[in-house]
Amino acid sequence: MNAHQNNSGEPHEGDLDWLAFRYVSGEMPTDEAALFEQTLAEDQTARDAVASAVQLTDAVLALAPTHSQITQPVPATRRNVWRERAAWMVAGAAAACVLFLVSWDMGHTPRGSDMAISAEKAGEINRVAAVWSDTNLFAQADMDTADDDDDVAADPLHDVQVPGWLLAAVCGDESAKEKQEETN
Amino acid sequence: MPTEGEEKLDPAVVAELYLKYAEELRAFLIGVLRNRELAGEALQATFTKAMESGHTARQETQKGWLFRVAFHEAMAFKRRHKVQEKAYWKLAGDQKEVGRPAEDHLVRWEQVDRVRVALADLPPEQQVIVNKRIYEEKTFAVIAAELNLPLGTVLTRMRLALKKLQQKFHETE
Repeated sequence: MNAHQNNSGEPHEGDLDWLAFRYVSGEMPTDEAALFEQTLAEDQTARDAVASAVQLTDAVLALAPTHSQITQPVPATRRNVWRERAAWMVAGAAAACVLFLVSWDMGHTPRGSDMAISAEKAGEINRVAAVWSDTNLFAQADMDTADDDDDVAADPLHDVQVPGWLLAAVCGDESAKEKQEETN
Repeated sequence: MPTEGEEKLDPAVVAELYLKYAEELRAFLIGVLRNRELAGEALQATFTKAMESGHTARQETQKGWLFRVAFHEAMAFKRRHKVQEKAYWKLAGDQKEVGRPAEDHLVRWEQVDRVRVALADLPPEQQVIVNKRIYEEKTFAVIAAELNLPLGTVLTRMRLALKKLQQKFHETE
């Protein structure tokens, strides 16, 4: 008896495709698979059936939704919206700071010592901003790895929140006070 | 008596055989080995043999000869590499990160489209079984338990579905 035959010895005439499918899908017990492989060694029809089973399965799998579509469609959209909002918030805060500094500078005639302090202050501001930026980006990189989200890595403004102390450092105490007043 | 060079199959003939049968042979080898990488290696080994001793096959049996050689190569690979007995679509699932199965050119898009139509035409009770077996990678026993059906019923439904899908798949061939 070969794999073309069932237990009663009758040939599985139209069942070759089914046998091949079960063989390919790993749904065949070991002894039956060994028997089927004997058939494969001799019978081209059986070999064709195996090739056909794989090709058919490929065709069915090609119709499956992609991995990313299955796993994370909605959260990704939500994150993108939040990232967009955060980016606008940061851009807005930066623009406000620049306007504030420009108007503050225009309202003051700098003296020599003021100029020196301003340069010193600007250096300090830049240093603080750079440190915060680096720290935040490192933290973001860690979060990105945990999220396994490719888009996030490409977006450095992901989930950015501007801390109050940075705002104070960049814009001066006045703007922090203003912010505090707005909050109250 | 032919010289050593004359015994080898003409490379042009081997190239022609490759164009004609490689796709089908690769699918067959994947079915036996359940490992795409090894199937690729076995395919190469098969055509190397074809270069060396393909002249021994009569032209009318060249396809059968190639498949037989491929099968023996696959079994040798299987013994050597102790290939795991995993399901084919489990393997296909493993490949999702590097590319869709259809990108391997094992299937043509018109065939995929015919299968899509055939899948949609299946009775719902057969569609459920196909989805659970192929996409969700569940065994027939698990599907039977989940749907509270006898295993025989699940197998019959899958078998009927497969028959319809195969018919559509090979429609114009």
